[in-house]
Amino acid sequence: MPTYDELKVVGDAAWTAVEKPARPLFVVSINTSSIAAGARETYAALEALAASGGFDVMQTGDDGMSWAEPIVQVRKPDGQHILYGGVTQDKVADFAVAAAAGVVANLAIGVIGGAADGIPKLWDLDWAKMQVRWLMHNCGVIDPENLEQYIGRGGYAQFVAATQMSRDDLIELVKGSTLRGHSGSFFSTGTKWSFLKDATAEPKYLVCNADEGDPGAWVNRVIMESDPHSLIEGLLIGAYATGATHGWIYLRDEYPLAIERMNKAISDCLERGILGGDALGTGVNFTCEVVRGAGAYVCGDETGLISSINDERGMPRIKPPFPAQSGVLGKPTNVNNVETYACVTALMRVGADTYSTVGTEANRGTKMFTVSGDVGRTGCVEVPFGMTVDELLAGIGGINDGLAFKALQQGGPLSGLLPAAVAGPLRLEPEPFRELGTGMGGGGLIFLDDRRCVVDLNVMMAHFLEDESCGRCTTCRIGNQRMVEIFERTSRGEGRGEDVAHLKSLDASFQYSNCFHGTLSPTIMRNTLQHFREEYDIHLNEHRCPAQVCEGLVKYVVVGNSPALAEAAAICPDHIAAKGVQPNMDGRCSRGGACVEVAPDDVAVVDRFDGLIPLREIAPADVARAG
Amino acid sequence: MAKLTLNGVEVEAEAGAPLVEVIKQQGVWISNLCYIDGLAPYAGCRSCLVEVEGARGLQLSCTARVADGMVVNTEKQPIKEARQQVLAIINANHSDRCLSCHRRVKCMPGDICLRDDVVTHRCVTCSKNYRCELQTTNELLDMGFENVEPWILEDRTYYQTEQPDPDRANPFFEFDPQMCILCTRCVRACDEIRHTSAISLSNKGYTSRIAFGAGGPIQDSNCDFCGACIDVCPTATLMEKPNKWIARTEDWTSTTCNSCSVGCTISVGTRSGRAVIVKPDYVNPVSADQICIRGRFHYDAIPDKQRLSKHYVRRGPTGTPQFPAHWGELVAYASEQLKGIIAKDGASAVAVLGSPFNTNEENYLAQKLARDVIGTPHIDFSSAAPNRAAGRAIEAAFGTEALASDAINIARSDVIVVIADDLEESHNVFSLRVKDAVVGQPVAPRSGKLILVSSQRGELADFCEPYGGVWLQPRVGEEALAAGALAKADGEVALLGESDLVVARNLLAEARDPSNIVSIIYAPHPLDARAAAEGAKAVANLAIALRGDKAAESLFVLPTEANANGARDMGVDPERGAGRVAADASGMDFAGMIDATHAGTLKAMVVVGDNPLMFAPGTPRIREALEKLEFVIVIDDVMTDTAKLAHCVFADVPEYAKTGTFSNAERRVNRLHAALDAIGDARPALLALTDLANALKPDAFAYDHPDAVTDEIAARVAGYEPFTSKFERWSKARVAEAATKSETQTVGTQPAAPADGQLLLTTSRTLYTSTDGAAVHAADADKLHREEFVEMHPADAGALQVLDGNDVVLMTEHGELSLKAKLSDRVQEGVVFVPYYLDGGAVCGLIASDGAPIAVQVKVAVAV
Repeated sequence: MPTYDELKVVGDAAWTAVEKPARPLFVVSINTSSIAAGARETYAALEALAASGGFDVMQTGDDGMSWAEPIVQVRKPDGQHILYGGVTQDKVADFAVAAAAGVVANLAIGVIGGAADGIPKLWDLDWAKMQVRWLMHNCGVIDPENLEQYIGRGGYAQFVAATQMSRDDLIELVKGSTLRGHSGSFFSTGTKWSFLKDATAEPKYLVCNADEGDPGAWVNRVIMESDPHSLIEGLLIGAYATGATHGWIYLRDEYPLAIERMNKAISDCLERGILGGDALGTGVNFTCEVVRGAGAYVCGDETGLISSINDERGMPRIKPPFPAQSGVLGKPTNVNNVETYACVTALMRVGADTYSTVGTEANRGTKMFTVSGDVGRTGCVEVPFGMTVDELLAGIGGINDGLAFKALQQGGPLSGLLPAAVAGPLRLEPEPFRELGTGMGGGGLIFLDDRRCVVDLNVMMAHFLEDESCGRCTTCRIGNQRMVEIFERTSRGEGRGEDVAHLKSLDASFQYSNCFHGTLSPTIMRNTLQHFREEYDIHLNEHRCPAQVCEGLVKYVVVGNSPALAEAAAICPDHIAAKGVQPNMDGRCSRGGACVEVAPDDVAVVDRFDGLIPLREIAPADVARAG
Repeated sequence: MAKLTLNGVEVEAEAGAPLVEVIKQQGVWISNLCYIDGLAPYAGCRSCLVEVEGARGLQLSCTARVADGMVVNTEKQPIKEARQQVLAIINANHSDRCLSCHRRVKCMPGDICLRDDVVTHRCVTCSKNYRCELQTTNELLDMGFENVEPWILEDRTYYQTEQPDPDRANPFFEFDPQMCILCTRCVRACDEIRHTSAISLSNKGYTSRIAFGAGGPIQDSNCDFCGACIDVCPTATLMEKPNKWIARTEDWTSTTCNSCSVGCTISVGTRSGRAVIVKPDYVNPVSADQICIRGRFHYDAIPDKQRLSKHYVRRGPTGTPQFPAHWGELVAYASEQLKGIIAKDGASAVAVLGSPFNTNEENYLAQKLARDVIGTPHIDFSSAAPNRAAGRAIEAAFGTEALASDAINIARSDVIVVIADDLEESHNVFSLRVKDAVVGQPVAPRSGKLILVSSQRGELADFCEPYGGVWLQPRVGEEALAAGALAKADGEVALLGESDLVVARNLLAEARDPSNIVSIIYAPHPLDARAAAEGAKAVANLAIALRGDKAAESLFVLPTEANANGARDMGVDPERGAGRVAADASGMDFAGMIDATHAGTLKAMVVVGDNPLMFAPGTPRIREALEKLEFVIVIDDVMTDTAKLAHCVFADVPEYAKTGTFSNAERRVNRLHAALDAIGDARPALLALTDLANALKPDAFAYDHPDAVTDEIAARVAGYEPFTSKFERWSKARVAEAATKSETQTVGTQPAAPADGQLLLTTSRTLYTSTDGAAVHAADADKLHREEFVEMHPADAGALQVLDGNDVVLMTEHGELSLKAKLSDRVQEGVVFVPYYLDGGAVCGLIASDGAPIAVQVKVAVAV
């Protein structure tokens, strides 16, 4: 098997070849977001033109700019390196020629290397300026399926360096870095590793939790799709520190590209002798494999995940024993998530001293966040701990359409819902969130503008929680069922006076549940009653949805008669107008809202139970015209 | 031991014990709807909350462990309210109108509900009313007051959600998921206690459901209908179907199951003198909380009207009808006839048959009747030959057949050797203990290694390879040879796969380690005496090879029928008297009796509970003999084929109406107490025997109660001293004697296999067919209709163009039998299997009187 130095020589060459290519290199981001935006088509179109255009095409992972996909970077031999966004298939033909020769100003987002007139430096953009990219060091830079490029960018040197240290020193270094589980638990990683190191039973196992199920979070996906080797290197460092010999990456099946790239990375490592025994001559015997999760949210809990790996029903189990005592196959096991393992790699690369220069006293370093919701720049950012929510929001371009920031739903359905006034000044680190009785979560940040309704959000979240309860604890299984019922009927205008008391009683009994799914299920509900009580009370007492979102509390009325109305009538799934029925169709309307989108001037959404607006009939002739 | 304070009282408990069990042992009631004592906590119901001082928040007492100095409170108001809150949530998904109704104590079935509630949603109309753990929990937790019932005046989830349909498609279980609170006790009982895993929790979230097998009907899953799930269900979700609505018992009586030689102690629930339900009786540490389908459901295998409620007499020749008779008339007639024969042909023209289904008391009196009253040495029972042959072989090896091996050790064994056709079917609870030894429970895992020697694929076969054991599959009839091969280092390897033998030998090396507990379990063939004898010699050799002087402590020889050992201990043996001592005069065994009848030297027979036409091989010849006899007396509780040929039929009471004792496979003496009333005029066999004896010889028997016989046995029979009538339920003492020697014996050669192309017919006891049902040829002797087939290997069936479900005819030189074919790999190629009890022992008509497997032709029946 090759030594590290031999691999490094090959790796350096591979990296240089794509960093300073001999002829223009078009680097297309291929990740789940960009594929949805058409990046595969862009890639194929560029490849078809490559020979005639005198350029090369390469894929890379995800640089976090979901808002600009499909993204193409053009690296020139002269060192000019420009990032273009929105390069859809239809634009490729013109773009390829122009970009290979010069600069396409209208698509350019920023300059990464060299210079180009009139185009800002990427790292001067607000979006980029706030970021510190240690975890995302390789994201959008290297080809994630290319081990040589990873090594060329300094990969696996951290692992080799770690093995030069004693295991105790290494664990102390991790402890001292304040690195804590980035999944949302924020338990000291070094301490957790020391549990496994001190466990007496053999063999020991590492598990990587890649079952990222929180709606609005895809941090781990970005790492696995863009830089899979940083995870494997983190696992290897962990294996050296703890004495583990085998690892499982529990990867949710909803991430097919991540599964593909992780598997490729693992097989490359096995081939080069990095995994599978005496890694790079360091004597570390470790190998790992991908286990595909079947889609249970509770398998994100470490014991649920271990049950699933053990071929048992994916249910969080009763603790103790803790995984460090009895985990996979009943052996001592350490579970961290993808970002945490990758963070160890990053920590070793930047060095403990540099690492401690960013972040806060309690939380050194950086954290990746995925931002979504009503914001312009949906995507993934890596910022130092301690940045405030408002700062981050400003960096991603604020709320869409100039609307007001109403609320932040951070860290998935278990972590909470905070109004803008409370959330805005919060520092992005676990403690401030905990003080509010919420959690920061694993990195998902969903920003809501003032068109959103909190009752509607609760209905959605409660449904999710109800669906995803494992079924063990009555408090969670039936408690969530009760919560759904209460919010559903509130959103229909059938809320009852005693509901608030019921919700509070449920909140108390949820606390007797076994795992966090149960105990944290009522968080958003509790936050709603704390911070959005007025809005909730309007639903409850006035049977009105101020944001006009709750389907049961609004109705659609026809207020105009432009040609668009006929179009709206034609797509109405309930065929209300087409059947010649009066369009005050409340009883039969399924409230899909498509008509409002098609004919915004003609159909109005109004409160269902008051403020009725007189209706105008649609003449049958109008319907006929619409055909 | 740790000291803890429970509600202000200081108590002692083992440190690390589950707190909930300690609380319950102290007599403090606590709601715990998902906990099963002794198993790992599931912690699903969350209703066992207690306060542990110093711990944050309330703790679940099922997951909390006892620690020294612990201060536990269960009764404070906030704790109670928390539990009420949780229970209210559980109730929300259960039909609960009565559970929280303040008027519930005033309501009786049939009353009008003052809350105008739907009748089908009320506890008073629920089959589990008054015996429901959820109901009790609600009452004891004072549910129903507005302050703790957050859902009052609401439409409950239960009534809003569409409920799954109940499963009522099988004769034993009713499964009504509407009532389910998803405590998963059934799942864990099936998995951890029974090792069957027929039940699982399926789906997730609010669609979570209990599912049998893949979620279909129960009988389509691998459920064995043992009922362990029913015993633990806290609601009306899982219930016995036969007694679902009637099992409101007036009384419970502890007695012993008579379905096999395990001898599980059971508790029979009765109402108006009739059995309405059977539950396991925990007093027996071997069966403990488990019984099998036979124990639980065969109490009503046949309806009372099919049992004898009248005595019968036939004064005419064979073939003329039997007429009801009064007791006194019958006793007088029977004794006159017997006296006449004795006067004419001598006492040795009379033979007596005891039975392995009789109590020891009945068998003791039967042999006493024969030897002391009539004066004949001819006493036996029809299925004795294999059991006696095995017993004699064991005796030759160890000096006694009452071995010191104790069945409590089976579940603790490190190495288990099982030599049986299908132990799961013939001796279900011993098979369960073998599984315990192999896998244990999650809280106390075990890693016993199982060497299974069986020609059939039974459930135990699944507990071999995956757990480091091995399943050796000799040809039918070669089990003894295989066991012999194991005993010898250079055994006849050709019999077994080379690799299997290597694994087996490695395991046997472990078995030789004196620090390991070893169980060698042999269930002899129920009919083939020669195979039983050779098998017993071989297993004795194996035990001696492995354990040397201590061999007898590891060896179990399990007779098929419940009290076969007891029968021979009581002297139902032509050569041995009570206590297995040599009889004064040696008599004829059963085969000899049949021969003598044909020869004309035997004239009369007194059959006490036996049914040779069902249990003994070679039926046609036996039938001829019985028809030829001048006088036959049968004492039985059903009209068996034998009883139909009798001149006098004394109606006996059912087994659960008897008082007495049974001696099980390991000669543990188990107690029977009469639970039922007699049906009609039926009287216990002991009374028939006493009256008959006294009519033959004045004042011969002076017993006024079964206990008098029990006490006489205790006084007279060696080994039975501890078991006087004062012995109440279960005794640790057994009839066990120290081995006086450990001698290996030469195992005889095997019979020649049938010629090429011929199939071999074999049989053994199966799980589902009931003895009583079979005896009267009931159409639903096997209510699940799982066993009413001849099982064939698909390869053989293919060669004969037999399809699954075809009507086929089995033909041997002795007879033929029509039935349906079932293709399965449970049997080996070249072998067909017919259940022993099928259609009242029909298979016995196909085989020779030596009971050995026999060549058979199988033909597809031609439609008429």
